[in-house]
Amino acid sequence: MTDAFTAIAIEVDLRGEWRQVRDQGSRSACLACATSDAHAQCQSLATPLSAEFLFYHSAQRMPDRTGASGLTIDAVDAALQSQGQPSEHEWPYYAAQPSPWTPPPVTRRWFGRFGLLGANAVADIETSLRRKRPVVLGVKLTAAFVDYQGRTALISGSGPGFAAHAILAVGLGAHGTDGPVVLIRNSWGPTWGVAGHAWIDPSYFIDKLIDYRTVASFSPALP
Amino acid sequence: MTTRRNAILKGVERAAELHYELGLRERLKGGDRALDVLRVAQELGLFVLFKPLDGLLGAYVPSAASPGMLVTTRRTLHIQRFTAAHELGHHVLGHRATSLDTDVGFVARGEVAGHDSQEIEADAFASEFLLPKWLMAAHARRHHWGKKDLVRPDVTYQLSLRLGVSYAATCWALAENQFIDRATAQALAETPPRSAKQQALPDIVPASWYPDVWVLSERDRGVHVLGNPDDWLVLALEEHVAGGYTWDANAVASVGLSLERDDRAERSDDTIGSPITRRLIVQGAAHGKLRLEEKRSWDPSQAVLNTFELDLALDGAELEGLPRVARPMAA
Repeated sequence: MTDAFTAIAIEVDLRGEWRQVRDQGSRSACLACATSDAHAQCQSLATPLSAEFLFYHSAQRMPDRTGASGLTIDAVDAALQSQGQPSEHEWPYYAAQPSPWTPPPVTRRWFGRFGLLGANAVADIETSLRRKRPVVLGVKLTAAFVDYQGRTALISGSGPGFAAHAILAVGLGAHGTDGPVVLIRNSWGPTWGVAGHAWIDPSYFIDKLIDYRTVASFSPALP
Repeated sequence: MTTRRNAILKGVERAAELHYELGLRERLKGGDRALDVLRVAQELGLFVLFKPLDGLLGAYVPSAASPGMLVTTRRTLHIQRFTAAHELGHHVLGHRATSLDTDVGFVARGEVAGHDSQEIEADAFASEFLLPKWLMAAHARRHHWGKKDLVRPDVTYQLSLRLGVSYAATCWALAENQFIDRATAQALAETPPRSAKQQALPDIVPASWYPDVWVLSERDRGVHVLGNPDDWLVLALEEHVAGGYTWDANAVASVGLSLERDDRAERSDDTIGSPITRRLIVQGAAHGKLRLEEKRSWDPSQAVLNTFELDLALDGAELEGLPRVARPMAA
């Protein structure tokens, strides 16, 4: 299938696995949002998991415990394994940081863990996507990424990167002779990019890819 | 010595009285601006005229009908302001002789020898009027500067800019008001502010280090920036870029500023999603409100997450004639 506007021949497209993209607002919750969607997909859930719950328990593992200074892969991985995630409706996401910030009691949780891919970043991301497994990407942002309004086919890899952001790789395609391009799902609401998604030139990953992980279900040891 | 000490006390007391009479402590308690000595002179009906004076910083001319002061145009804004405060001292202390002033700030420097008691009174008044302890504390409180910070040349330099006085005058006033000891003030005063300017502009080599360099952060939100047209303003603002929010830098041109540098600080840790510091370095003869907005550039709603405003008066030294505050078009 070829996208009429972008002229990208789509090979893998997982957009249908989720409902509307998330909007993290100004909170430092991008890694919790991207991981939550990857987690729900690996658990074959039709409804989203609570990003708020994952954000909260990951933030408790950070020095300031407020979530205001972002999260680390290790903190989110530990929270996924130890606290897991309930369904989104059990603790919906707050647009602004609540105070006090206290998780409600929940009835059911799903547990997960990050999976490491190989050292060949782009090739490993492609392989995972062909297996219908989205990949959580930690990337540096560029001005072109931040300002992207879907008016061009791709976000190019040019320009300096400046801040660490998490997104979810959800598709794969081919664009002209440039080789494979990656479709990403952002957490900045549906007005960013094309309904919250964008195609990224693989050159973006040469110097702006910080980390990349899959999410797998996990069975915690019984106490 | 007793006479000199009494003269200093008299000047200081009169400054404190005038602060009270004009409600200045209440007006300036937010630490958001320097004391506007020229506006005070106007409020008190004192005629002020700026002229190019040779070998003279200022003069006070007592007159029952129309007392006035002359201030030279041949010095910086900070020296003009201190000179005006000195002449205002002569006025509010009721001095009846015309005073021609070639030196100001000598009381703070501890150089009272050779000055008569009225000059000492006026000079002590000027120091206390522009640099009272409560005003220095108000600025320090706004910026969360404690005594440990005020021994740093870069902090003292930034404080001096906000108080609208020279770096040296600020060093001495910090000691006079017991924020630091006299030896520390001496060491600070001997450290030229150039290093503080270079620290604030690490990757820029300006044509001259004479202009001032303001480092402005969220704690300066809404402040009055009284400076010179060639001053550098370094706006260091927290940006929630991992949420898609960025500061719209286009507004700087609307108030006559040119954007000289626009970058973001790299984070060295392994966190993902944290806010970063956006650094906008601007310069220009700007006068008026600068309002920056942090928002999502692509979002049709253009909802604003944060704003940052400055009240800019980068007009520089007063020019020949009436002070700006007394001109019909003055803001």
